[in-house]
Amino acid sequence: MADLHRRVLSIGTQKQLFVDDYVIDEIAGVSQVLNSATKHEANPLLTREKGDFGQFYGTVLYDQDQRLFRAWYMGRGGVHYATSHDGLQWETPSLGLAEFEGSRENNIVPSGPYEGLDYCPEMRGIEGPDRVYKCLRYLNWTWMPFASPDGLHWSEIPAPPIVKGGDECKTCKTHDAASPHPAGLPKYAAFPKLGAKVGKYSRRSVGLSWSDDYVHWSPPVLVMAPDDQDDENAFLRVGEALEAGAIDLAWPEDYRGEFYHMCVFPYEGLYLGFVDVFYICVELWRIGQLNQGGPDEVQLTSSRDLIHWHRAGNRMPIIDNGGLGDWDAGWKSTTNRPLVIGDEIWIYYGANNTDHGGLVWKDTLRTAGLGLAKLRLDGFVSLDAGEAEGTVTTRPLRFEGNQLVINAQCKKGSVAVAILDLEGRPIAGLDAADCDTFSGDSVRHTVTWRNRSDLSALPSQPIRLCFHLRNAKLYSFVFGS
Amino acid sequence: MDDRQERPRDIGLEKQTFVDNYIVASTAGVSRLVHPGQKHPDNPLLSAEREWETGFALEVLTAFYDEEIKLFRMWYAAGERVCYATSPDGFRWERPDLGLVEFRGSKANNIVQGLVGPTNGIVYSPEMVGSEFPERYYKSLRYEAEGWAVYYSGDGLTWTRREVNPVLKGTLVRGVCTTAKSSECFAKGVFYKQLPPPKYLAFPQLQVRVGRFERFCVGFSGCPMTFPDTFTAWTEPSLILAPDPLDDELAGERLADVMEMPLVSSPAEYRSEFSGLAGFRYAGAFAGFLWVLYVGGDGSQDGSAEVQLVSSRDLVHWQRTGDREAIIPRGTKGGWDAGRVHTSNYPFEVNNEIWAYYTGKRVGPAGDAHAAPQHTGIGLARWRADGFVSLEARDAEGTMTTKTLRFEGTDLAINAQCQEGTLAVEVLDREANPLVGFCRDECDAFSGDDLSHIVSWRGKSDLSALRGEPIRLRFHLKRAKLYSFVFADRSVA
Repeated sequence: MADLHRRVLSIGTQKQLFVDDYVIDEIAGVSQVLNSATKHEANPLLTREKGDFGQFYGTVLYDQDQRLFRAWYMGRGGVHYATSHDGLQWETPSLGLAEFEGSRENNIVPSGPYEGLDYCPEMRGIEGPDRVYKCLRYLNWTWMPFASPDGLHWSEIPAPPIVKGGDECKTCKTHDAASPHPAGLPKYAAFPKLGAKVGKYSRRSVGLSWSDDYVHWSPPVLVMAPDDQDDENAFLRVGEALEAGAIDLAWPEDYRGEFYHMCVFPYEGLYLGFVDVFYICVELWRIGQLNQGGPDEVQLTSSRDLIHWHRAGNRMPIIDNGGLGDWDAGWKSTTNRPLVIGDEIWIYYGANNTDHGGLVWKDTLRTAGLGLAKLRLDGFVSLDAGEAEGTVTTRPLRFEGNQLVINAQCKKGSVAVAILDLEGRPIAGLDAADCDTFSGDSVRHTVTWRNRSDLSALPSQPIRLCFHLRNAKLYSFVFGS
Repeated sequence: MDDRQERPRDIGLEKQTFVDNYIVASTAGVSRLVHPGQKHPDNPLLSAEREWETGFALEVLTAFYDEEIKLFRMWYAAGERVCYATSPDGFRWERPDLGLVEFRGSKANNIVQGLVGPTNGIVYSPEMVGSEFPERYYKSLRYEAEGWAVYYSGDGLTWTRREVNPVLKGTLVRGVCTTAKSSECFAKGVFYKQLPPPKYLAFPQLQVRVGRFERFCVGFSGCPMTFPDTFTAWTEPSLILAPDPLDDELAGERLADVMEMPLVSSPAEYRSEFSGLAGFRYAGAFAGFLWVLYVGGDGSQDGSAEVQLVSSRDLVHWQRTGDREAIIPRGTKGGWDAGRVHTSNYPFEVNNEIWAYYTGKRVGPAGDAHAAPQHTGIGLARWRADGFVSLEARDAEGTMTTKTLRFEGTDLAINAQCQEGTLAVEVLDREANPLVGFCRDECDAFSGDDLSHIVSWRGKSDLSALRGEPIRLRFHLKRAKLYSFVFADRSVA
């Protein structure tokens, strides 16, 4: 019988996360745990003017050249722009680019990127200086490409009508400097909202379209649709939102899960997604309106090829849903990709204190703002062990480099690593008993065995790693020099 | 999260198999086995031997047992021609003189009229016999330049193209699209939200960029029963199955024994593609024969092909069974089916077995130079009832505990094989505490081989006191294979 996990994986010096079990062969006494991001205490960092309740869709990026955080987000009159030196205190500059309500004294970016933008400084030489910033905009029932040299002045790229699909479409670059990906994918991917018939309903689902130039896009195909587990979860999440006061109208017969959109980004050799799961709790025709009501939740997904998607961390929310009276207890959507700032992952998200139905039909009692939630580096999913020691054994690996570096948190516990041969026998001198046990908290701890970290003497045949964990969280490992 | 929200599965009188973990909560010391079909010793049962078949690879389109006329019936393609054969036993096939199509001055042949290849399987709806549209008992879809065209027939032998076509535009890149009749008995089915699935299923071939390659992938399109039953209301196809990185990893291995073929020589190009899916109803769920192509040539489609099992509960989400072993493997080296195999559009049940006819080719490449007709044929693969997948324990006892379920009926019947072992069942409450009277020690352990063994506890099998209650079952297996279980209603019988 085939044993898929006996096949050797060549990882070179690519860091490995545990979001899926691609690299894991055996697991005993250890669980894969989703770590929800820690919300910043000063949230919401940016609120809207009175009467402006649009979605905080958009992008926050850190501009190395200007040493500036820059944000684009949906607002009244179009896409708004804000800047910040520390990512926490934001200013809304007067851009003078668009006339709105008789004045140009505003921060509106005409034809701006309301679904988020793709920042492509590395393509300056290939695609030209006018296409450093790109986005898709929904015009006349289709998505059209727009580009900008500076993120503020946008123009349409002449193109045939492209990606069809619903009124939501996130995009991503498949490559970036931090994650050069070997899979030979086209340079850009878009994720338009498609309808998929699951059970009784045609549901909002995630499609995929490819492009090599941001101009010509392949016909979208369905890549992720809600299933019966999402419907089961709808009962839980709706109950929670009722308690938090974020919804006041629910009709159990209508309960189900749908995917509003998915923000996708490359991270350490794979792709991660923040899927916005819309838990429908009422068809608004029941009160004479269109559309549906219900809360949502941001969950983590992962993929190796952007086609097959894994629902990571048991579908738990990556951003806590918020409780009674919280500004973000209702509708939430992340910006199109998080930022890696130092040894942290910063996830900017927009939120309201009401649900999708509330956005449609209620005009009062709403707050809307931009918040920040943080994870440690690689902190999405960890392998956790409690008081009793647990072990995780990897698939056979081929690596480059001469050191093993781990990202782990075990202030009151320990991590030890054994290096095994293909048959699972410890290699002499590199067993768990030889390993200098790590206790502490480090995003890059170099593993040593009897005070030596050098692995260059290891024979060239594939090895397995066996992690021994006690009261520990292991986030990633990587071979390096 | 699983524990927090588990609501009982209402399985009623629906048979439960183990193609997926729909009913399985946990196992210990039990593994899932995918059983390859038993190939008939006389395979290939049909090869090109008539003049009008000469030079073509025979490809089975559809085969089934017709209860009405007590005959096995088969439609197969020989190039553009669609031919018809019958058999009293499914092994010895005859080519009746249909007298419909002239070939070299004679109508003494088994060529079907009005349906030409490349085409897909056909769908026969015996339940329509006697309805007001006798000319539509048989239906087929064919991919033509502008989209899908519908063909109707009253007897399966003379076909008429629907006047207005296409019924669905575009998306198909080639003419392979299997249609499968989804069975009529949906009333008790555990289908999503109790909604009957579409009556007809089609699995078109989609071309999708996966990794570095544009590849063949599988889409799904459904067609509901309409009045009249026109076979035209097909939904836009959705992508349901695409090869993933593990499939590409497998390609190297699966190509190893065909490496000597001159065209299969480029490891960098090794990849997997899905050239088709024969999807069908399988005990309350859906299963499918996935036609997996392992491609090795430089930009060509040369390689080997085998059939793997997949399953689904809602026709949108499909999962691969086990470790992607072949359920119809290629034959041994040099054999008539050593290179590529693919199936008819659906298997069928007969004599308490599952039968599937399949097309085999001796060599891998699709190139004409290799596909000499004498190197192809149509064979038969068979399984015991519910026999695609079993849960098995060897010498050490293992257990399988189900999720919380609610049943109808009075008795529990198991399909199991343990001539040299034992199988015992206990009934638990939802917290997994054994229920007095149905404990493991009280169960009359089963030894033997039975498709439908009624489980008893101290000589009593009646479970009607627990009907409608949330319970779990725990199976204790030792040197035993468990294929399925079902609650039966003996009060009706």
